Amino acid sequence: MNEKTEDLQLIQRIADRDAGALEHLYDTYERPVYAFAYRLLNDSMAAEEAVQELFMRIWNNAGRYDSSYGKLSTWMFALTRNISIDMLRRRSARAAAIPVEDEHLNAVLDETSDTELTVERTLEGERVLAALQELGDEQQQVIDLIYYKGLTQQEVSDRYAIPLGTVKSRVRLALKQLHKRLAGMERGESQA
Amino acid sequence: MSERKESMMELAEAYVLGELDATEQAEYEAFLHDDAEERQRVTELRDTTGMLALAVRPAAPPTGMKARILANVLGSSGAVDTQQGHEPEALLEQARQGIEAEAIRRAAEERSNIIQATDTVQGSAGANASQGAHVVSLSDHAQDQTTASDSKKQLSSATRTDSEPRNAQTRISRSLWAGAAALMAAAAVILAIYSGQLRSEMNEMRSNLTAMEQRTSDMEQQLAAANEPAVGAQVDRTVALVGSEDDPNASGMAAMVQDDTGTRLVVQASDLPALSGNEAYQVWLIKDGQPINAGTFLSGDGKGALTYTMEPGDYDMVAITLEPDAEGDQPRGRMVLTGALT
Repeated sequence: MNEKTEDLQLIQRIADRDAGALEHLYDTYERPVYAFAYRLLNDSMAAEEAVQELFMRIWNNAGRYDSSYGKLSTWMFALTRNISIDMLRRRSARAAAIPVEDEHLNAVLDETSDTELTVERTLEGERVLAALQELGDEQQQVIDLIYYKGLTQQEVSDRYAIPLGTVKSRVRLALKQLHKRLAGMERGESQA
Repeated sequence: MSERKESMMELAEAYVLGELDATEQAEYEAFLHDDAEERQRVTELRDTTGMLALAVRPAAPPTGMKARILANVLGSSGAVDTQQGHEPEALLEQARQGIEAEAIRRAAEERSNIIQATDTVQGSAGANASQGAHVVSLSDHAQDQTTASDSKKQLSSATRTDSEPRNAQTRISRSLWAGAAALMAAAAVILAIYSGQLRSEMNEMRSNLTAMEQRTSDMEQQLAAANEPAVGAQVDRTVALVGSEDDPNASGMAAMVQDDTGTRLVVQASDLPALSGNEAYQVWLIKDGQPINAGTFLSGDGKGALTYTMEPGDYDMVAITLEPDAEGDQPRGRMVLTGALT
């Protein structure tokens, strides 16, 4: 049975209100979704809140997932990102946001450049990180600002005075190259 | 490639990154619906961006996060469960059993790891007995060491013999601690689940309370309506009640009165035989041979009356019986007055 079929069966059981299936999904994804939410929110309580909201949505809306969306993990990470970015935006609307303009573009991929940490990453994570690091600086910057910091392409254009078209083409190229490098993994093939 | 397709494809990345506004999103999704090639591209884009989540620095979740989240998620689902015809209690029970089993499994694993680790330490201590013995004896048997310091070998063997039961003791004690810690962890998990269950029960009770309040308010409204003076009441029909053979003088009248709050049966009787003890008169509406209790009344000076809010319908007869008390719901006494409704 391949990963996709297993995912579909699991999500179907969750849609049928099988609490054991939800717990199984939780055990499988707790660490990666928490780490991702923590990366986006940089706050452990907020990250836990985001993970809780994620599993709340899955428990109540599992029926909405269908395999045409992509892998189950893709759906879960996309939900985690949406939830976290909503929280970030609420947070920055409440408090005076740190002006992004002050950030140095060169520092945006700060933690992904910390090679010591790659030891702890999963094999998959290491491959993705390596693929990210192979991108040009400008592409890494837009991916960091947009994907991990939750800015829109328009916001990156406005805040960093880069023409919108340039931002868009950097994003497109970056994703295209990542896709090329990670093609096997995207299909859920084992990389061991 | 058409101009529309080209402009739509421009939106793919923004769509996947969740940047489109509602209108743009709807337009793009309509385009996606009709274009299989673009759907494939978007799926790939999604998978690529989804994988970026794996590249982040690993972070350990806070202690107890699983129990908190599962309790909150499963505990919050009462309403949804009911909607889908599942029992929340059953689901919670299932979750609790799963989590307990997991906690027990982990505790067992932990215990066996500790035993293995202790065995390894013991093994290496044995292998390096002549060097390692000092370390063990310094910490555990300082006194023994001073008295037996003349022979390293002797000391080493003494320490080993002596330390084995202590190691075993330590092992048991560690196992006990590990077991206790695991039990406490399991208890924390169970408590968290239990609090989730309580919350769910509380929600259910709250909704029951709301339903009861609604019913009370409905009944109050009905009562208020009943207390309102009737507007435009109409007599549907009246029937003269005739005394039975034993009570030829008794007479009465039954009327069915309709107003905007319903149909009422109004019964009035006179020249009734005097009541004694707990006796009472009881009014019945009879339909297909089945008596329906319309209430009891006590007479004074041979006169009595009663009203009853009745279900509208085709009844065969109205009757008044003389009953041994006012508490019966089936006729036990004799018929005093009757009137046919057909």
